[in-house]
Amino acid sequence: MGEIILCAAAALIFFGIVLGVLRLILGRTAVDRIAAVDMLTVMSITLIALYAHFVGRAVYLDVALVYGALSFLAVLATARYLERGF
Amino acid sequence: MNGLLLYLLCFSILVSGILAVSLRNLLAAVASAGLASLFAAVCYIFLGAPDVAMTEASIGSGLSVLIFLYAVRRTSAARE
Amino acid sequence: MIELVGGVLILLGAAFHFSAGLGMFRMPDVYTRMQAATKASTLGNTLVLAGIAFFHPGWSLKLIVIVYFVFMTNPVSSHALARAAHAIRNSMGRTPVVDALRDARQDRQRVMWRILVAIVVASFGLIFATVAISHVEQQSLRPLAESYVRLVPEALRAPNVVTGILLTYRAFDTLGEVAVLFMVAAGVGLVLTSSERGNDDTPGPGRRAVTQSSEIVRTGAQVLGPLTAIFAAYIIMNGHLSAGGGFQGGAVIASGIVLMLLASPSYQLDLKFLSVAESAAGVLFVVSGIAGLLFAGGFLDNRILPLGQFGAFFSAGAIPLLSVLLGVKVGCELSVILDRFRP
Repeated sequence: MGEIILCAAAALIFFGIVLGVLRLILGRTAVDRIAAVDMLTVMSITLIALYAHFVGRAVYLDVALVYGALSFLAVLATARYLERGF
Repeated sequence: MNGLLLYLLCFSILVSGILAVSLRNLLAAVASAGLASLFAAVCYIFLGAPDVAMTEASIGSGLSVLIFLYAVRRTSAARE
Repeated sequence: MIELVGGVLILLGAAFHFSAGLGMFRMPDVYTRMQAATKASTLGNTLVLAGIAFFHPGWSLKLIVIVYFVFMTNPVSSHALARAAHAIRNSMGRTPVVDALRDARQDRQRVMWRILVAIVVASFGLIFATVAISHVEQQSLRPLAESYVRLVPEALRAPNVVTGILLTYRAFDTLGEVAVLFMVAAGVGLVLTSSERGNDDTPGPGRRAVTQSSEIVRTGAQVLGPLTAIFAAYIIMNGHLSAGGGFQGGAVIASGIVLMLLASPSYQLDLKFLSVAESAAGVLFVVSGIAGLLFAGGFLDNRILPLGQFGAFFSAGAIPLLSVLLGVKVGCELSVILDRFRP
């Protein structure tokens, strides 16, 4: 039962990532692509946490924590770049 | 499940790399390069290497993109 | 029963992630796409992590911190991006595309070049594929790796084998990497002189129009700056116990400093203090190596400080000290490099 739930959740996130990558390929403006990258970062955090639960080791959560804290920087820098306010 | 997700991630790294070299808008290209680094870090976790994944995460998520953006801004401002 | 609740929460969170991806793909406009992506993915992340907390109650503190970071950063970054999108649409009428490639319609020569490149890349791919497919995973470790895995918990009393190897058995290579980083910082300092930047009152053609960031971004950075510093200290000090160490913590320190720089552009770095701290950390690294030579087995041996109990916070000899020195050096160096790069 637990296995089925984990597989279903992983499949749903898998499709979410596929759609995000599609938007990254198709997106018309640059802001589209950057928003897609931001969303894919949050999905990766969830994926890492799910994998940590699947394997049962808490050490992988530190990596998710690093992404949670630092991915902010890239999007903020891009926004400042676009606004010409570096 | 594990193997399938790993293959999807490797394919996404490939796609991000191709996008990073072929997009015309430099901003989007830099974002794609950052995305390749993100997927690589998740692959490292799937292969059981948390230290390497943390190093890739701390450098590739913020600092790498930032340096590229600074470089693009400097070179494009010099041309205007 | 508890597992059922946790499983339902995980499934719900994954469904929200899927709807975030779907919204990103199907929405008509960039603003609606950003709204769908940010809200749904943040909520999905929270639900999945809450569900995982039901399965492993011991992880709850770390999961709560992750949820808090994502809640603080994702909306703020999305807000800044939306503001930027609005600003460029208003000011120029079309989004400015920095077109660095030449015109691709030019000539057939370009197509031939692309075919050649494709053939070269495909052949490289074929070579790698042959190597990758014929790779047989080893069933047991090689003798050297086996001896390291055995020795690091026994002789060094450090639970994290990677940090133990990096900071004791191969610490000389780490010293070499530190020297390389120092050369990079010196090189960047030579090439990119800060006299190009000038002061705030000399206007370039549209280059020095430093706008103030919005209040949300400034407040978010004020909250996140100290948190990032604490997080960096946690990564550095935990290097010998779990994943982490000097380099990772140093990079996170530099990211925190750069965050403060980005959120308030008039923030000036104290470059003198940073270079003094960096040099002091480097000198102390070599001094502790020489102390290892004098008081213990060899250069950069970690037995100069008491080994302590396995898994305790202050244990594994000089490894925490070396991690701190490495973290300070890398952090200061990276922030100085990034400050020099600023246009």
